[in-house]
Amino acid sequence: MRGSDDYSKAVSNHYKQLMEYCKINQERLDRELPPPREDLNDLLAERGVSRRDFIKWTSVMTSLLMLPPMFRPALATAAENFSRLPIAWLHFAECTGCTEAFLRTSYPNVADIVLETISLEYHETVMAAAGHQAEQNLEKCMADFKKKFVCVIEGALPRGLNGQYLRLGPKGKTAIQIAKEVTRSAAATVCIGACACYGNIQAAKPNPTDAAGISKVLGISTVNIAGCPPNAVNFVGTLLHYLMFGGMPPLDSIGRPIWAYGQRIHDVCERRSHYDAGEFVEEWGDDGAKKGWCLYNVGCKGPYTFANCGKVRFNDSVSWPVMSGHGCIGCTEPGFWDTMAPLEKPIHEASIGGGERTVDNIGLVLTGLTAAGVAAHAVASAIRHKGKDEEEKHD
Amino acid sequence: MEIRPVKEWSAAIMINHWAMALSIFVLIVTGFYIADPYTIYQGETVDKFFVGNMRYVHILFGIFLLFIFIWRLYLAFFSKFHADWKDFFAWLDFECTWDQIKFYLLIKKDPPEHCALYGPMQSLAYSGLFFMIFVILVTGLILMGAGYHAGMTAFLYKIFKPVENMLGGLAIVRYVHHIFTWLFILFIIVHVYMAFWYDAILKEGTVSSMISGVLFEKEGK
Amino acid sequence: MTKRIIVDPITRIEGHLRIECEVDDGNVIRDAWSTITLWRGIETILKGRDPRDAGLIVQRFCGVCTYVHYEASIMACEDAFGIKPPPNARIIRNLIQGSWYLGDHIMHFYHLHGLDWVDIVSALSADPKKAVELAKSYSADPYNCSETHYKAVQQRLTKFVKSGRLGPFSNAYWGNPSYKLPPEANLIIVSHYLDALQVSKVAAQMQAIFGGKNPHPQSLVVGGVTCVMDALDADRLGQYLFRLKELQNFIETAYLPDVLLAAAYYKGEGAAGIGGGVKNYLSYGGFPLDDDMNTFLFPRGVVKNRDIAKPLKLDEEKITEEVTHAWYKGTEPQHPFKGTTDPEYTGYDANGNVKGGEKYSWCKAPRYDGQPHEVGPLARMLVGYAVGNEKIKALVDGTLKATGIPVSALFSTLGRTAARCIETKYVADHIEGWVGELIANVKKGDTRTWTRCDVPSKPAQGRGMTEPPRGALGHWIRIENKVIANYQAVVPSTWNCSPRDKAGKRGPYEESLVGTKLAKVDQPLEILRTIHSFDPCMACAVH
Ligand code: HEM
Ligand code: HEM
Ligand code: NFV
Ligand code: SF4
Ligand code: SF4
Ligand code: F3S
Ligand SMILES: [Mg+2]
Repeated sequence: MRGSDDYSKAVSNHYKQLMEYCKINQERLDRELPPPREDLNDLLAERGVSRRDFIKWTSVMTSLLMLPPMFRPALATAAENFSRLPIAWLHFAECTGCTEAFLRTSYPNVADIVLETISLEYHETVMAAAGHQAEQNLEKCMADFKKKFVCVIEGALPRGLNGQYLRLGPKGKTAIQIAKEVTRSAAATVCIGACACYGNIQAAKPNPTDAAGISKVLGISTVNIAGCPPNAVNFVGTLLHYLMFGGMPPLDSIGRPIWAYGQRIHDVCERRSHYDAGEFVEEWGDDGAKKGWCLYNVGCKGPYTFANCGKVRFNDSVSWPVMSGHGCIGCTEPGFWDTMAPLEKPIHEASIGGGERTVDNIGLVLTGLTAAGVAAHAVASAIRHKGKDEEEKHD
Repeated sequence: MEIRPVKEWSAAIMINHWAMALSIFVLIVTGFYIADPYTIYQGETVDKFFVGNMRYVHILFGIFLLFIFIWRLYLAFFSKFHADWKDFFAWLDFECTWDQIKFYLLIKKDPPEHCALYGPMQSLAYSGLFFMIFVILVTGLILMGAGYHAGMTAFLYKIFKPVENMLGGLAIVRYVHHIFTWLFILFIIVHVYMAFWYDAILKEGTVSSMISGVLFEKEGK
Repeated sequence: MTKRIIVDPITRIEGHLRIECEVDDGNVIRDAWSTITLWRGIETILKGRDPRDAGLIVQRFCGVCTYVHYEASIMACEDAFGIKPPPNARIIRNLIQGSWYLGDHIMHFYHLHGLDWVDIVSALSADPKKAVELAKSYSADPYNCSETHYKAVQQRLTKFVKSGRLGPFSNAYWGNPSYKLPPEANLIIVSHYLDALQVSKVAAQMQAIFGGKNPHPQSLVVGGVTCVMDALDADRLGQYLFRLKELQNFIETAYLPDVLLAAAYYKGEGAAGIGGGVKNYLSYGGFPLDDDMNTFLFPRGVVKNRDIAKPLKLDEEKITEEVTHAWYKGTEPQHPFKGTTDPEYTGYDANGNVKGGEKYSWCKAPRYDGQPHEVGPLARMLVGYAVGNEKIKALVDGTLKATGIPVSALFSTLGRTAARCIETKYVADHIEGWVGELIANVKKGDTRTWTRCDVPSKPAQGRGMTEPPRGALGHWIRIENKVIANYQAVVPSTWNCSPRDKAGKRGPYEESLVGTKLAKVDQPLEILRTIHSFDPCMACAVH
């Protein structure tokens, strides 16, 4: 077993290096970041969360982030440092659902308390200042925390009309201008929600304002916390990772943290055994629905969607879309309004240009036409080539 | 008139052909079930694995098809009997192709002289078919890779992931896979008909050739 | 000499709102323009899609009231398909909507509106002991009230201030003479500001129990609801009721007393009618109480010219939108069934101000019978009061008596804020009954949650009208060839944030600002207070 020995050595070396890296980074942040705004430990105590519960939470979170247990203490430090990280949160073309999700996170653990300590230097939905004073706050954040603050973006950028479908602030700058200025001086940019990640609803066909996600419009790389809205736990975990390593966690090819978006809904779904067995809800409220059977036939897009909703659930783990009997609509995937439509039927039942024109119906018609064409050709050939046979006989 | 048998196909090509035909047939049937599964009502959930089995068979034959296809490509380039890869481009002789179309449309009574193994339209159809197989393999492998994160599947999935992103996600990959299923059905109808039609018109034994490997040519041709 | 002031962004709202005012030498607002600065074009995006997908799409109008658009769209489809959802579905929809009211109104009062009334910095100098006494004079058992707790809150705030990192509270208008509350009152409400962060999560959990998640629940379909497992699960209903109790307690022991406390110090402003605005009020009727949608928890109706003695019947034909001053093509008022949404952007003037005389907002101008109307909690309470709804009457009269404010003070910024609080209690008091109704129905053996239906293949049209937290909401859908041929939404905030119309009549926000005196021209506190009292939602208004 030499081979496996080498392997485990390599792995442990890797983690040792990572640990070194983590230490260096946490020391650097300790020097560079402003003092804490809030004391997490006080807050935990006030909410009746014991030290033991906190330790337990760090181990859950560490494994969620796909790190070995040796990183638990580092994660605890990151959580305690959460309030030191200055955040500027921008709103563009969006619905504020991501803000709501983030304000109302209740994970049955510590995550929501950690989130409460977050230091929002700029956030239009919660900040007290408005107008000129609000603008000053943003400028101050960019000046005081240059290359140290994290820019969180909620919302897409409309490119049409030279960006004027969205103008902001007393000077009426376009959203694109502001996005450029702020992301340029930020240490990192995190896109929260499908709008900022990939454009989402305003970018659905025919995309009247030519909206798109941040990374596409600005040509910068962003961390994409996908979902409409995403689970705030995915946001917290990503920031914790940043506070440990000074960089973003491993991402998939479209910018989503792999620890949260590495698996399909379908592969971690509580109804999966019914799928494999061939037990489907055929219409809403039928017996299958009452028994919690698979929602594929009523349009579940779990097979095409990468996310951890079924694992972490929403709102204090109360539920998630599949649990409430409606299929997943694929909200963590780019372009899902178009690619996942119709939302309440399997994708191949999409109507092409209205009415009953689905691929299968078109396929059937073409098959019929082909068969008819073949038959007509057979008859015509029989007539046309009749003479030929006779000619040949005379040879 | 003298009719003499000519060896047209090697055994390898014939076996390859019928293996491919079988795989495609199984893939169409299981594929449509996967797309539109009906509920199996009798029995307990734990005792049932119908969709699971259908997927298993589908993927199994999908992998068969992958190997058959690779084998067919090998034959096209390295067959000792007849490496026919050039013959797939017979349709580039446009004049000949046009004549062939006229023959099919019953405007001309006789087919043009073949300059290659396949007639020009045949070559076009088979080139198209190879393309279809390629697409359905790639999309199939992506769909497979999305669910399994180990071994060769994962490796191929890494390679093809950009294709998934380019197409716009797994849902579109699956949709394309589904559309191509219909293209196979259309191909098969025309293909089988043409095989019989050739037989009837040219009396060269086209149908049986894929079984015996022998085509009957008339003297003087 | 007048001068122009710009407040952009208006913060603590949903979305992107710009207010421009002309202020005279006495600091009194003489004219005002409200401008929504974002267009997303979702009505255009809806065209050509499966009508059953519309609900989830329009839900993305707004992440604050999210569910209401989902429901309105589903109702519009049901109207067009010619079907009715079964009773269980109607009740569950009310349960989701009901919990939405509780969460939304609480969050609005504390997190969006509160800082217009409450000076956080002043709370630092409060005497916690006196604060306890003050709180007890408004509620027998005030929420989370003790000297130690109030001290802890003060300490937490002091830590913020000392670290020099006020975060969201920095650079605000602390110390502005328009703040009227004594330090102790400020401390009480600030402490509830923090409590409410927790409490509004509980409301979100209630929504998620039947909705799958919050925001953007996912359990409604044309014809009913999908959450049949949750609906038939006694344990689930228990989880819901348990949380309802928690919220009811917060409403009774924090929200209501806090509003009364604030009213005691701000009643002068109410009596002076500051922030009154347009004089017409509209309600479409909300929370259907029967399956034919004849009776509603919030009655349907119109109050014209503040005449509560003569409520009018609502005539849907009289609802129009026009765009003389909005960035769209068109001149004539249109009924939503025939509405269009074609952008025509004309920008700001050379000074960077909106062109008040021309087009100046992405918000259309909805009119009823040609007149601007205010919608929302105040409109609902006034309509309910006017049509003689006993419960609403008792609640309103009770509140007025408790604060010693005259009825006329309702037509003001303060009145709007008080009405929101009153209706929160009104809704909270009814929810438990609906849960009972659901249980009784299931016990009778009726477990239906869906009415079978399909998209009509003939052209069809329908509308869904309801009363979300911010006011009257309507969605109008036309279906042809089984896909959406036209879709128009006229949203509560569209009514309230409306720009001027062809006749030059200002919309409710604009009208409510005119005549308000600012204590400090460079601190737009009074503007924020009045605008916030409408609970603006710009993503809703323009979509
Ligand atoms: C002629 C060849 C093939 C045909 C006609 C075919 C047909 C289909 C069809 C109709 C579907 C359902 C698509 C839908 O839901 O709309 C499907 C799914 C699928 N096919 Fe194929 N397929 C072929 C080849 C392959 C190959 C080569 C592979 C893989 C190596 C493959 C793997 C899959 C997988 C993984 C799925 C998705 C099943 C699931 O995980 O739910 N297919 N196929
Ligand atoms: C009566 C039955 C059939 C006859 C006589 C027949 C005959 C032929 C012939 C002569 C060729 C060209 C040979 C070659 O280059 O390989 C061919 C190719 C092909 N046939 Fe058929 N075929 C028949 C049925 C089918 C069926 C049912 C399928 C599929 C389900 C099929 C699939 C193919 C494919 C995929 C090719 C092209 C690939 C290749 O060249 O290997 N055939 N067939
Ligand atoms: N205006 C509005 Fe909504 C509400 N309530 C609407 O339908 O907030 Ni976002
Ligand atoms: S991602 Fe969804 S929830 Fe978040 S802002 Fe966009 S539309 Fe709203
Ligand atoms: S409900 Fe959806 S995600 Fe779950 S097994 Fe069925 S198809 Fe997959
Ligand atoms: S719709 Fe979105 S929230 Fe999760 S279950 Fe599907 S990804
Ligand atoms: Mg509209």
